Amino acid sequence: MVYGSPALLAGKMIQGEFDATLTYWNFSTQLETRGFRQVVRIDDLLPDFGVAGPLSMIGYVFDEAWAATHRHTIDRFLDASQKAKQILLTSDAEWERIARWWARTTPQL
Amino acid sequence: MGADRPLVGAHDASALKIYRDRYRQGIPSRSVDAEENDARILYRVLFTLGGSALVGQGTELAPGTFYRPNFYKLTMVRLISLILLLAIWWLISQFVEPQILPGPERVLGVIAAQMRSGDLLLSQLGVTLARVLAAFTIAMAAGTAIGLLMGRVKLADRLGDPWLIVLLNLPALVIIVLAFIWGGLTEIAGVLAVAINKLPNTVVTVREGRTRARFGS
Repeated sequence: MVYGSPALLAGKMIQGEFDATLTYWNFSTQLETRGFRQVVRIDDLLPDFGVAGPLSMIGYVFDEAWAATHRHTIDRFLDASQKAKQILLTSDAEWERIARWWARTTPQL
Repeated sequence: MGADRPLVGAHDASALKIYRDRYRQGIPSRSVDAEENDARILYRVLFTLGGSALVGQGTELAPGTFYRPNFYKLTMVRLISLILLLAIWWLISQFVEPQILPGPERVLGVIAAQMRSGDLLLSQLGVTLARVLAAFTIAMAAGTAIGLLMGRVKLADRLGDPWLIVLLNLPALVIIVLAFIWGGLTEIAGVLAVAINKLPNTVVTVREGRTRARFGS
């Protein structure tokens, strides 16, 4: 078993040096676009631990004391974030827009 | 790394579809309570498996790990603002004659009475709303087209800008009076007067939006 940065592991997978890798969703997805297959997701494993449904694995972290005095700001941010996700969930056109923007702004490695 | 394409990016349709679907899979859809409950269960599992070497000092998920947003409050703020407006209106109306400023309860009473007697709703209100809709449609359609053009083409912006400034500063009353003088006391003249009044505001808003838009043009 080899540990390494997700980007490096993904690169090594593409070069054919590894048979499999455990990695973050975006690297896993990038490998999928190159013909690799996803074997299992964390969400698939959770029921075996007695967990009922999909569980958020990443999130926003902030200081509790600061949050107590900035509730309104945080709530508005989370509200905006939720609305944005709702758009990404329902609108394919929005993804086309992102793809064009990606293609323009992402430097070729 | 020898990759010929960016690691994160979707430059063809099939790749975009994979990214889109995988991203959507990861969007949390459950309540904070449900997530926290499951997180507590998973924490216990991790503690059982790895002890404090894995999870640190605590034996249970720390209370307050999950933040509970109060979206209800966001709506409440708007509602309170509206109630405050009505309260100020009502308060001032208590100190002046109804001819100067009738209170909200008086105005609502008149509206209710007219609705009951059939004088107001549908017939008259409907006619006014139809005029507003017609004027709005014209102003939005023409304003959006002109605004987009001025936002995109520099020459159009330079040509149109002086006109815009004149229209923006022309009082609504002047446009209305001129419209009725030139067009007669007709339906078309009234609708056009309102549309012309709102046109420059639409143009400016769309032009500013187009000029500042950097994303997804």
